[in-house]
Amino acid sequence: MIQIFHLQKTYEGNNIPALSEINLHIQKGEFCYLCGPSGAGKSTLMKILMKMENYNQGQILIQGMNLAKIKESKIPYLRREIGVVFQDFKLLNRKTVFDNIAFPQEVVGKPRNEIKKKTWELLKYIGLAHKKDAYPLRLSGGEQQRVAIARALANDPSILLADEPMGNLDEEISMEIMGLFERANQYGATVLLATHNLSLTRRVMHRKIVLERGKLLAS
Amino acid sequence: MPPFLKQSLKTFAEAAANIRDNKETSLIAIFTISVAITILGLFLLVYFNLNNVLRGLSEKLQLVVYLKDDIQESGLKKVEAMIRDEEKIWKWEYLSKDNALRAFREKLKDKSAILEGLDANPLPASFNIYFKEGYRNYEEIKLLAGKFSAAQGVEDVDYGGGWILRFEAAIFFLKIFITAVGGLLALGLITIISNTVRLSVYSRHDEIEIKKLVGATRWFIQAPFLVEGIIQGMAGVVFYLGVLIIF
Repeated sequence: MIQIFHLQKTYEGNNIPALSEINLHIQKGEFCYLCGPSGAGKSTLMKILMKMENYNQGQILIQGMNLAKIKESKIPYLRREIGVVFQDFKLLNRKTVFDNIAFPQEVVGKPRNEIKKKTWELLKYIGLAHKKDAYPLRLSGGEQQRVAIARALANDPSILLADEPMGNLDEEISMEIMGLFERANQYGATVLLATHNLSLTRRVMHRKIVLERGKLLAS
Repeated sequence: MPPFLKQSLKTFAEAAANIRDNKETSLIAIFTISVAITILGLFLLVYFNLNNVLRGLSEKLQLVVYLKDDIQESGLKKVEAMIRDEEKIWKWEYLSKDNALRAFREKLKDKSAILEGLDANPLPASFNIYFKEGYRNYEEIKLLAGKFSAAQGVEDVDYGGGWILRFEAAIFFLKIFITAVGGLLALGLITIISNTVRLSVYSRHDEIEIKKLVGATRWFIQAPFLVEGIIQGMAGVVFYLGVLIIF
């Protein structure tokens, strides 16, 4: 599903590479943690996979698509294959919960009735059907993250990337959110979840990919 | 409904919603556009008026061909034929000796005493010649003046050579000045409007980033901005026209 060969990334003006000699294979339907302290390169790797950042060396294949060769105009289509969840939620604060979840579906041009049906399904899935008309800033952090997950799943992506999704949430809410990722994984999504929360990775066991100072320590 | 029309309506609705949600930025944009158009309008007003004045002045450029007092009828006809055949000439008039004196008397109405002692008519008959647009310049007029002064029966020609040269120099500098002012103004307006647009894009860069992340195409992201710009531009013009009508 995701294949990375000899990946190297150095930010301009920096001598030390943010990522170096990363070799990684993630199978279809796998659930992996991307672990490591702050500054280890987790977010950089996520951004590269989303084609939000370029890299200097190496090859990356996502579902057979070579990221180095993908045309600028085709990047949106790559992103539609990948759902993404951030620590700071990145919701559209001027749109309601319902509209936030409907939005990625409008982007891909789904028919209206299909959007409605899917959005309702997702609202029930995250347990926020009763708050469909609320605006994100009126919701708690945990609720906002649930909306962000629903949005990430709206177009049934084959890959779900989550960058410190529980970073701002307490333990109990984190486990609830974790449950949502687990279920998405059971429905078939390949999940790559970046976290520095070791207690979480101990409580729910999955393959761990460990990064430190831009290098792969364990996979 | 065809998909294209559906998408266009959606884009339009989104642009309208964006304007509603960003009232302050939109109002600033509309106001900026109005001010920019007003300044441009004032400049064009001055520019076109000045152009009209210049055209009016250049229409008055003339060549006066004075005829000898003893010119024969045939000589007169020849000069007239020369004028008629000259394609650079816009219009002309013949002023006989008598008419010249009459016009002179008319001019000196208040001081007619000066002319009382006059027993003969000292004024020559003349042709006043005006030029077509494109030939109202020093070089052309001088060329024609030379041609007429060589003609039989012509006493003298007068075209105010020095005055024309000064007039042309003044127009030349005026044109450079207007072009420079216009250029600077255009540059200023473009900068102001592009900064307003940039401000509106910047105020929504989070939204743009999210749209990119969920896989929106470039066009999907840009179209509402474009429509918004058109709406704001038109609103700016309407506002400007309103101000114009009131004042």
